[in-house]
Formats: sequence, C-alpha cells, structure tokens
Amino acid sequence: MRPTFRLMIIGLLGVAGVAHADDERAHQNYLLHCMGCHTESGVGLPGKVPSLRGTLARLADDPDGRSYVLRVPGVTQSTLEPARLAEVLNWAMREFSDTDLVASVQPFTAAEVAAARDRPLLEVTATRQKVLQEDH
Amino acid sequence: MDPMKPYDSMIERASRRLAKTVSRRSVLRTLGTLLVGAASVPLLPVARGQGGVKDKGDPGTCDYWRHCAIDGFLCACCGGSVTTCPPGTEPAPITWVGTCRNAADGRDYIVSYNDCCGKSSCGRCLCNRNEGDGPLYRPPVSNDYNWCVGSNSNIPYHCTVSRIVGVADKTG
Repeated sequence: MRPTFRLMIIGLLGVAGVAHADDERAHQNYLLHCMGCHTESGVGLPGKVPSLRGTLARLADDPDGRSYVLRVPGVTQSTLEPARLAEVLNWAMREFSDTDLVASVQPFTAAEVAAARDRPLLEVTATRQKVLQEDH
Repeated sequence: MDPMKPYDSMIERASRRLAKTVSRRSVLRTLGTLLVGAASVPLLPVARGQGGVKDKGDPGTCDYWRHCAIDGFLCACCGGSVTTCPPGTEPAPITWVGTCRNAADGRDYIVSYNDCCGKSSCGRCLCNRNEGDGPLYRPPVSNDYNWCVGSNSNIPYHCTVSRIVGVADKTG
C-alpha cells in the first residue's frame, strides 16, 4: 500500500473515532442533563414538555427559532459548559430530526450558546408558538 | 493461465477430502447438536442484571447501589421491582436523573428515578440517600419534587424505580 494512501486511511479512521467519541459523550450528557424532562426518545410530554423530535432542526434552521432554542430555560440554566452543550444540541438535532433537513442546518457553536446565556427567554411558550406557527 | 485456476483446484481438493472423511449423517448429527445446544443456552441459569450490567446486592434494600440518589419508597418492596412499577400504577415519564457507582464493576451508570403514580403512598422501604441531589430552586437537579405531576395519571405518588439508562464514563 502506498504510504499516502495508508495515511489517508489512518486519518479517516481517526476522524471516525473522534466523531464517535463525541457522539457518545453527547448522548451521555443528554441522558444526564436533558432526558429527565424531554424523555429518552425526545418526545417530551404533550402539553407539559415540548418534543424535540422533528422540531429541533426546523427551529435551528430559522434565525428566530435558533435564538429560541438557545435561550430556553433548559439551555440557559444548564450546568454544562457551552462547548459541551453545543455538542448535545447538535447530537439531539441529528438524532431526533429528518436527515435531509439536518444536513443543511448550520450546527450550533459554543460561542452561540455562551452569548445566549446573557439573554434568557422570558416568554417561552408564546415564542415557540410564534416561531413554529403552532396553534397550541 | 486462468488466474482462478489455483483457487478452483484448492477448493476442489478440500471438497473431495471432506467428502471422503465426513459422512452425511455425521454432518446432520453435528448440525442437530448445534441447533439443540444453541436453543438451550437461554434456559441456563445466569445472573440477569439489567442490560448485562454486573449486579450485586438486594434491590429491596436502601443500600443497593442503584438507589444512590433516590428519595422515595422502593418499588421492589411495593409489588413492583427495581425497574417496574407495581400493578395499578404507571411510571411518570418526567424523571429525576443521577449517576451511581457500581461496586461490582467499578463503573458509573446513569440512573433514571421514575416515580410510579396512580395509587397512594406505598409506605414501605423509605429510602432517602440523595447523593448528588440539588436545591429545590433548581428543579431539574432536585429529587425532592413529586415527579408524578408529570404523569398522565396525575399525582398520587406510590413508589420509585431505579432504571439504568446508560454508562456515565464521558459525562460533564
């Protein structure tokens, strides 16, 4: 095998390994910090805890929706540091959303998470309804 | 020369050798033994910890490792088990989540403490260990709440289960 080709394979394996380690960490942090309310499968509890399934990527794709996600109490009050929290948000977006939509959505960054902590959302339900154009 | 020729003759030699030395009945006998043997493996007595987790201790006692952050009556003493609600109650989907160290394998696990709701308090095996419990003004990290408020059957709290949902070796 040519040395360059071998290096490429080792590099790819390395990237795959890192991505996997991050996913695992994000999943564990989701279980520990988010699933208590949003449940293991992300469906939440109708009328009490909003579902993450199918909505997270939609929200992240819209400037108002993105600002909403970053400023909800579960995010601004989380004890996770910004980089870890951004990792969990991106994992949840991939895990709970339609693949096609996720591919076109900009991932959340640690800087966005940190900036949003300075301006927590006060009107959570009303903002969500407005952004998702839901009736209830 | 056909590049596949050496492989052809190798396979042919192996097949002929096999045909000479192994009878059809012995093949059937071996396959039959394997089938019956494989089918009986699940019947053997094994330690059935949740999801293959090594387990030690009695889930009906407060010092059992999975109860490290619990605050409530143990469902294992109330007609349920460490992971299932007693008949007539249902688990609240909204839960308190913590981590516990398993002495049997030295690893930390993420444990979901689901309250079982729909009947009045069980009253047996009260366990209040609170490891990692947070203050009331931070509800998601406080186990003092009656999480049955988040159940469909609404309110009466009966007991609590300690369900392992994952390993905690990369959290934080």
